[in-house]
Amino acid sequence: MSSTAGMNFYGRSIRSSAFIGGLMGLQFAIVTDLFAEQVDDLVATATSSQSVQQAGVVRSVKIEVKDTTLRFVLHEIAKVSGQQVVFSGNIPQLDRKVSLTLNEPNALAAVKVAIRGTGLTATVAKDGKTIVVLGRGVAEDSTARKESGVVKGRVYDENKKPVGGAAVEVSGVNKRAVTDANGYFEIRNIVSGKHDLVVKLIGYKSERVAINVSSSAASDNSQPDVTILLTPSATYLNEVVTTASGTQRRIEVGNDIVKINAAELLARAPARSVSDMIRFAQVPGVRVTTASGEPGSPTRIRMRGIGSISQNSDPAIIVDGIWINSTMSDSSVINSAWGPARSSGERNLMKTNYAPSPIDAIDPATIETLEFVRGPSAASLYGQEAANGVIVITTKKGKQGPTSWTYTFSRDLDVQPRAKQGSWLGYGTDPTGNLYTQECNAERHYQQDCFQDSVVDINRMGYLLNDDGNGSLQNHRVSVRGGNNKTAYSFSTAFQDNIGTQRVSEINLIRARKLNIPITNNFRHPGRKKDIYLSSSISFIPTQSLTIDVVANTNNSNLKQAQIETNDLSVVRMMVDTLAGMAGEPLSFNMLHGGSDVFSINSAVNLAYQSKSWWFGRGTIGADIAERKDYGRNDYRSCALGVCIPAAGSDGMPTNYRLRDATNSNKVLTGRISAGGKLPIGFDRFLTLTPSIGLDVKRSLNRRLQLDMKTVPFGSDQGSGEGAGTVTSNDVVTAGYFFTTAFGVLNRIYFNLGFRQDAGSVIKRNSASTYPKLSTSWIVSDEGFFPKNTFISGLSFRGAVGYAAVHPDAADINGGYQYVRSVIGGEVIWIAELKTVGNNKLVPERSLELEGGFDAYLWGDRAQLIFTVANKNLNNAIINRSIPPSSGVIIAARRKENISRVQNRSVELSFNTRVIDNDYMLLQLGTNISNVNNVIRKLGSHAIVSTNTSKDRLVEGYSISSVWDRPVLGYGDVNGNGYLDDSEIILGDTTVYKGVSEPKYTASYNGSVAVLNRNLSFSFSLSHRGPSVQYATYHDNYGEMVVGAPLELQVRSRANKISGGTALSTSEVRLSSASVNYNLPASFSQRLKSKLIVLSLQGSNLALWTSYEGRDPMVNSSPIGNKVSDNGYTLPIPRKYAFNVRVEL
Amino acid sequence: MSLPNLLYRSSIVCLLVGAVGCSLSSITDSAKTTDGELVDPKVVESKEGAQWIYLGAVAKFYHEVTGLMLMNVGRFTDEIALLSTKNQAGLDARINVSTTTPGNRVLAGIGNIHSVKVQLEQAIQLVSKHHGPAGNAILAHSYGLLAMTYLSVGDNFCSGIAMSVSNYGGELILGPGLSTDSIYARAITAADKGLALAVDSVPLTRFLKGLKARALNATGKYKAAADLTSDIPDDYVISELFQPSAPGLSTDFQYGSRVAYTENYNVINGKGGNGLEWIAMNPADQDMRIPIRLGTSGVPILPVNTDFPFDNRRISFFSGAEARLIEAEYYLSIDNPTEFMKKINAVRRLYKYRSGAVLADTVDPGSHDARVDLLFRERAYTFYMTGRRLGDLRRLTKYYGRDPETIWPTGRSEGQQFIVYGDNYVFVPEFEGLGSETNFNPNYKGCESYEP
Repeated sequence: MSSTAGMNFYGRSIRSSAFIGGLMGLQFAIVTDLFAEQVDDLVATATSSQSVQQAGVVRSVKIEVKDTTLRFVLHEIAKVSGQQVVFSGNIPQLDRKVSLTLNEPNALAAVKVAIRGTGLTATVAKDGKTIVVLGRGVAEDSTARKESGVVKGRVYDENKKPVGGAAVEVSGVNKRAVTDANGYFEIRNIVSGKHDLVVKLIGYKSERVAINVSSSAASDNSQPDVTILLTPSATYLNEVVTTASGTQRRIEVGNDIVKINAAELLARAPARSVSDMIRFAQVPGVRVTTASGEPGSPTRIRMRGIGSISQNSDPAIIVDGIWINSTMSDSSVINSAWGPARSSGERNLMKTNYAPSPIDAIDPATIETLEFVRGPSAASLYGQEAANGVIVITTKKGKQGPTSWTYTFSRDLDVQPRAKQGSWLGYGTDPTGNLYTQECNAERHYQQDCFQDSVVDINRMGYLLNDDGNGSLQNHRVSVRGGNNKTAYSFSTAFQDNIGTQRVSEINLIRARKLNIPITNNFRHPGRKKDIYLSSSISFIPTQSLTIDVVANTNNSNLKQAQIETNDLSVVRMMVDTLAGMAGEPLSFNMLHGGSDVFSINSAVNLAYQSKSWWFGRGTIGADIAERKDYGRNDYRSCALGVCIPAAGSDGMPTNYRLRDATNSNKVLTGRISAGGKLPIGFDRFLTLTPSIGLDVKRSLNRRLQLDMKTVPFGSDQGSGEGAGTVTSNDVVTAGYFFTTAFGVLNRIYFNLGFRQDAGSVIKRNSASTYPKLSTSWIVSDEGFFPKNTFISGLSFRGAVGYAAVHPDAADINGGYQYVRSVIGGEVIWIAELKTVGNNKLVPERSLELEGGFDAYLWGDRAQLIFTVANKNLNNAIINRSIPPSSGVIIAARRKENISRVQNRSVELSFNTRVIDNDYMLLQLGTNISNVNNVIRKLGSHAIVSTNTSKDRLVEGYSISSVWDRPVLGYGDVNGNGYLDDSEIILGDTTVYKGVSEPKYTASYNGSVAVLNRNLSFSFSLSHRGPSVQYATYHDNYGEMVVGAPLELQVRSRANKISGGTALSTSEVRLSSASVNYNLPASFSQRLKSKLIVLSLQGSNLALWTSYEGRDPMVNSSPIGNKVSDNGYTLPIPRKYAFNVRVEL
Repeated sequence: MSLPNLLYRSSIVCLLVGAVGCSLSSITDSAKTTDGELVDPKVVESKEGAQWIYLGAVAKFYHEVTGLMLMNVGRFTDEIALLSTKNQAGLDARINVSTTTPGNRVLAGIGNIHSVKVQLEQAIQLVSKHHGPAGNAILAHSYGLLAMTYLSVGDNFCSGIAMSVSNYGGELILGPGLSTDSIYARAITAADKGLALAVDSVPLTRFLKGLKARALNATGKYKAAADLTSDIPDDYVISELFQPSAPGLSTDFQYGSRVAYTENYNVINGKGGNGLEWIAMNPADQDMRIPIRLGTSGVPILPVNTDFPFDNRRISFFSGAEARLIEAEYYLSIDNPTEFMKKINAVRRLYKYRSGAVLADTVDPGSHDARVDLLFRERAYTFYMTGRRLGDLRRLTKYYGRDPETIWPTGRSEGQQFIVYGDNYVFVPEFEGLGSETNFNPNYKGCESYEP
């Protein structure tokens, strides 16, 4: 039984809210606590003269105990007699040790004997069954009460929503109560004076508030109300989650929703972006990959695997109730700058820039909680675009109390782990005996251009990029928070400067000096992202029932990705030059500027009305607006005789310097109103009905402009002339309503029925899409038959089933036209040109997801085990199908059709425990494990799939993310020339299945310990990704023709060259984060006139154990599509060492 | 109407999202004229959008039909030859196109025609819906271009080409193959529909009458054809002005004079089995209707790379010259050499040298067969490089009994001596790879006839 229970029922486990029900004769009432006044009520309703024989079955009680507590004796009486025995947990006499031999005809007699001489009395409650043991406090007369006071108040959560079920205790006097459904509590008979009020609820941090109870407060109304705000606690044991009806106890919801406390997450890992947070949260079934380890690289998030073959698989993002642009992995994040066309022998230049994910425009430090809504309830709550799951972000709001200033400073050191040694190089001398200035490969060896004299390994993966260096990040943040019972506010501003680990190569610096080309700081630090965040939140509470939150988050981000390229015939030449202390003259010298400037703002106004009575109403209106300009410019210089000058490209175009702009704007507007309530129906809460209904509108405008190159003056961003470009725009409006209701039966079986209907501009005209769902949870541990034990203190089973859908684009239905300029009659005019034909039979690809699992609370709330299995069938998956030319489409004639089927099965397990939890020490351990299995069950006739020679095949029975590769059937140096010719390696003609790029399973192992009154804490997290296959393209093939290099090494490079890449298996364990936090002693902090000073040392990605030969298994160089690809160009995730200081004033 | 639809369609959107949301509605509209932008479906479904689709269909017609097909026909019939070392998908060799290689020019040609046809049909669909009677002229013009696409199929491709319906809004009905005669019948139907709408426009009426006459002429209905052209004056011409492409602009013609173009064409000079001397050995004797010039080596070349068609040269879609030639053919069919020669010389007099002199009259050759030769020679020069030659060769075989092997090019190619001509008389777009009609249209059974 819970140690916080104010009243214990032996014989049956009964909790307070059902206590009355128990007294009314119901056999199923189960809750833990009693209000103090309920005891009074009990006395009032008890009939002391009532014969115990009326209580029903009477069993004699024979007990012999020795040196045990009276409490245990009562327990034994209840157990033997089968009679309910109720007493106040605050009665000190119950802890007396007694030795007794009882042989009484019934339970009441036995109890009376047992309590003889203690001053306690026993009686029978109105139900005629329950035996009530009353203490002195109850027996005290009203005179004693007049010397005591009353405390009452209300408990809210971080969203200003009332919290029911929270235990409220006046510390030291053993006076307790439980908040009702509207968050109210009241405790009477408190001895006057100063006390601490402690509020506890599973899933929240305990709050301690000082109160002063006046003895003169004879009147209940003389004491001011106390308002307590609860903030969520650890990443596990969270109990309240966001649903259509606002917040709902997690245990009542039929599907698994994970809620993450952002502050605790940030305390254990140096998350510098929301993407980082999601990665470090390690929520089962949520997988994050990044395009690069460089600052600002976008991430790809998948919840429960890949959602679709052809449609978007990104989860939806909701911030403070409004939608934000969640397009993280579409083509808009890529922008490229090209150098002029190369002459033969030169490598083409292309600098690919990745724009940051929109989600990273939010300052992670302003986030209060992250909720991950997977499974069937997502769509019914949020409608279309939620089929791939929803991440609900709630930012920090104002907090009642004096103004509190917080300053944090972070300084990070980023270190790039060295790439594996994996290639080889022939060194040689030329016929005159000088060091050969180019790679001495077999061809030159046999031409006697050079004489090879050594073969060594070189760092192929690392070398061809700019040199690795150390990166850094600094972050300054100031926030202020405070308020009163009418207004609360929270403001925060932060500046963050993140310099990537890339460095311009030494050889290029030498060359630049020799060629008198100035190298600016931007090029010395090619990757850099600066962010300025400004967040504000003001909450108005005109009445206790009404809360109005106005929030706004802005971000100005400047991402630079520069690169210097020098072109010569061999990259190896650079190295040889370096070794020789020379700077070989390049054919050209290029300075590639690339980057993205982003301004974004999301703002929401949330209105919540929570009546003391049974109903609530809410409204949300908000907008997320982002403007992003991607740019790329190449300052091209042609070099000859030690001079590099701006010159024409070798294609003859007089455009030495080219600019490629891409301007993107995204606007997402949200409007949402909802209302609901909680209806207790009959039989005194036998059935509770919690209906809510709402309607919402979302408008999403996405516009992407990508201009081709144009001429600009040397060194300038602006220029005359304008190239053709590509612009796409989408204006999608969706409107829908939802109706959900939760049925609570007997307070332990819950049904959640949901129904949503959407219509909108991309939904087939005049037909709304509906998403029904049903979920249920059964708190089996509250059943009478469930054996009471200290091991499993709570157990609930849950199941959910529901529909979701991903809609096609409007052009997929109607057909698509594109604006182009043309000439008619000698005049330039704008026209619209047919590009695609539509499909008026196309329907949303609709998934049916079934989810089941259980939650087990072990050892009280010390441990939680969550297990979930889910099966999602996408029965009419959309795929491109070939259509003939007579359809009107000229190139790659296709249109989307609902002809495929995809299945996703997943298993998720989460186990977290507080091994030690006391005022002095906290030790927590946990693990999260998940498996996702994605299979294409059906492709459909004429579905456009790649050929059997492709590495990117869609095949029935295999995953969408399956990786295929041509096998090496044999090799050998047949002609004995010392290296492998193409003809000496035999590759299979068709590609064979190698595995899936999505790991078969992922796991994380977390631990933390807090000592010294929890002022010093350590934590760590290991992440484990099971087997997967990445399609790795080695950056280059230098060394493959080196005479004498081991054949088994040559074959990899040779096969890679012939087949255009290599599928590599990977399995990894990574020390993803570790952290030490220390709260400086209060005395020291106070001397510095601060409330709290926290120092922390954190690290992330500290170690990686893998046999993978690519750069980093977590890095997906190609964020488009569902495959993982390591093209060898992008950097691994750096190791990060972070030092943080937080000062609260 | 369901509640969500009601929400979506009503001003509740504005009420909920506020003035900001509503004001944003103008963003996409105001910025639509940006290259490459996908057109919002809401824009398409409007009066303005319908007009854009129509303009797109017109531009696409100029680009796809009068561009690539003009080039294809020229090469297939030896009007020109490609001098590069690569044989482009069998065009020069009159062989079947590869059944495994996508992207060849025959496939591109039929694909372009389908694309133009579909966009024209969608333009007609949208203009009819959104313009009302005010759009009659647009519709008439669209029907005229639609008739021309059918004529292009009928003149050049094997019998049995599939015609599908692909409406705006996502309706796709894959059609069966149609015989060449059915294709011409469709051209006539399209022209008739246009004529019904073009009553207020004399130029459009003449254009549509001419196209109908061309279709009738192609099917041997000479009198009906001549009756239609009788009121078309000699100087009537409806044409497209050639415009050299500028960076970022779509070209009117597939083989426009872009610097980067590397194809090099030359003029065939009476070689092969064609029998027509497109240029005489002496450049001074060349027909002005053949736009050649002397190359650096003194050999006449067709300077498509830089100045063909000449700047401001108009590609005629229909003209008074063709009207007279249709009438000449009618007089030939009724054996009236006097009227026949009047029409022939009337055509010749339409072409003037820079000096102002016109092409000299020619004399009656004296026999029916010789008059046939004369008629088709005059047609060959008049329609040089306008994509008409293959249709004429087919008619020579079909209605005048000529042995195809005497009029289709045979032997070794003039331009590429290593190429030996095959035995194809028409374009055969059969192909079994990705994007082929054969594989993806179950109603299509392939060419019904490969004969001229």
